[in-house]
Amino acid sequence: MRSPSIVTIDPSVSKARPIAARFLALLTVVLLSGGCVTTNEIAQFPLGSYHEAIVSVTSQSEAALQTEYEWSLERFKREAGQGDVPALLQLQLEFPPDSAFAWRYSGEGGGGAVFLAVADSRRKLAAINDLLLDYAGLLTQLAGADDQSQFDPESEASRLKESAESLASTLGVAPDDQGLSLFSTVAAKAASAYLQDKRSDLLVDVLEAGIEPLENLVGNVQAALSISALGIAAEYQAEFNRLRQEFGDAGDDGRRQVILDLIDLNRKTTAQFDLLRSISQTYDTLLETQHQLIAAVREKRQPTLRGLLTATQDIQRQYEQLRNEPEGE
Amino acid sequence: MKQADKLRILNFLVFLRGKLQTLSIELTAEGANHDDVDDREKRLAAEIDKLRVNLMRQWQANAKSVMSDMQSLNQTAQRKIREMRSEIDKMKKVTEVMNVFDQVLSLVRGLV
Repeated sequence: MRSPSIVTIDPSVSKARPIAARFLALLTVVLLSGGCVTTNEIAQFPLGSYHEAIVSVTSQSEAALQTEYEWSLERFKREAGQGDVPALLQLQLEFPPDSAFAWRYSGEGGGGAVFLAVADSRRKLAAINDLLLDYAGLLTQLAGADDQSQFDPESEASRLKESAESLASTLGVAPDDQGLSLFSTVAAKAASAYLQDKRSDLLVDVLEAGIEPLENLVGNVQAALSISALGIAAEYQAEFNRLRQEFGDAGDDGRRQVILDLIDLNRKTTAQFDLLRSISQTYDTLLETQHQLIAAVREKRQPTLRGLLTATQDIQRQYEQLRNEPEGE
Repeated sequence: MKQADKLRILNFLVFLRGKLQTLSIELTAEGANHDDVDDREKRLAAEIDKLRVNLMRQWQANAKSVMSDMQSLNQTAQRKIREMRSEIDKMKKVTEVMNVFDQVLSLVRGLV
């Protein structure tokens, strides 16, 4: 008797024959060794918290450069109003002849004003962070968190069993329940074990390939954060000069206000320094985390990521504190 | 000059500027003339601004190679994901083959 269902399966059978031959060898080994994995061991390594931590640290680093931008822009406006800087030349846009949509600042080095350079650095930092986020997202995909790269032996075996039962019903015969999913269940479990090993190998490949680019990225971002910290110091000194001038010109009440303003400026400045330092240290933990992930995947265990998660929580707290601080005393 | 060396110089200039500000305040408190100190501090501030812009532009140029490395890394990761998906597809086909064995086996037992 020929079954229509079997006929429809035939093309895939013939197409998959070489693979089936290779897999049968693996299946035999698994059966002989009695080493079938349990169906709970689905071949994936959840990296959700890793991705979330990367999202957090990258967004905080970009936000941290916002303060330097705002302070340098405010100073530029103030000093430009006093005629202290050649503001017109620093702000003049020019339009290169090679593209209808291109523009740039005409000043030497792409705009001499500090706030313009800070703005460009922020954009570049965001682009670097986007690539880091992409990397974390790809790792998460490769680890099996997305639907397309998952293989669930439970559902595979169940689907096959239903298919066989349907076929038996169509033919009006009673299948032998004990033999119904003998091979397909074992095959699905063996496939799961194979895929778990394969996924581990590929993940370790990508994690190891990421060490050197990540080292360069971390060094680069930390340099940006150091430049920003010194920029904050320079903006503080400019603001300090302004307050000092006001102090000299003011009466008693005015002087009291200047002192309060200075206390406020000091608090914001030191908080910004703390935030930049924390973010810089958190980027360091990315490298440690990379090695932790490699070890965890190799040992088939969940990574703890404790250092990275604690660091990102700290900078989130510092950032919230900085943002929610009241203006003045 | 390397970026790290420029950073050290900038750090020192910022420190120096703070000292000039302190000196100017002390001279003011003593009623002495502090115009020279203020003038030097102003010139130093302008140099600090120039060095900051220079450092940021150099950093932006360096960032290009970092981005290039990361793009290459992400392409590698994408290739590995495709490889993994291909392996999963193969395994699904294999389990389909096993299903055929099961179907035949159970039907034969049911018929006999």
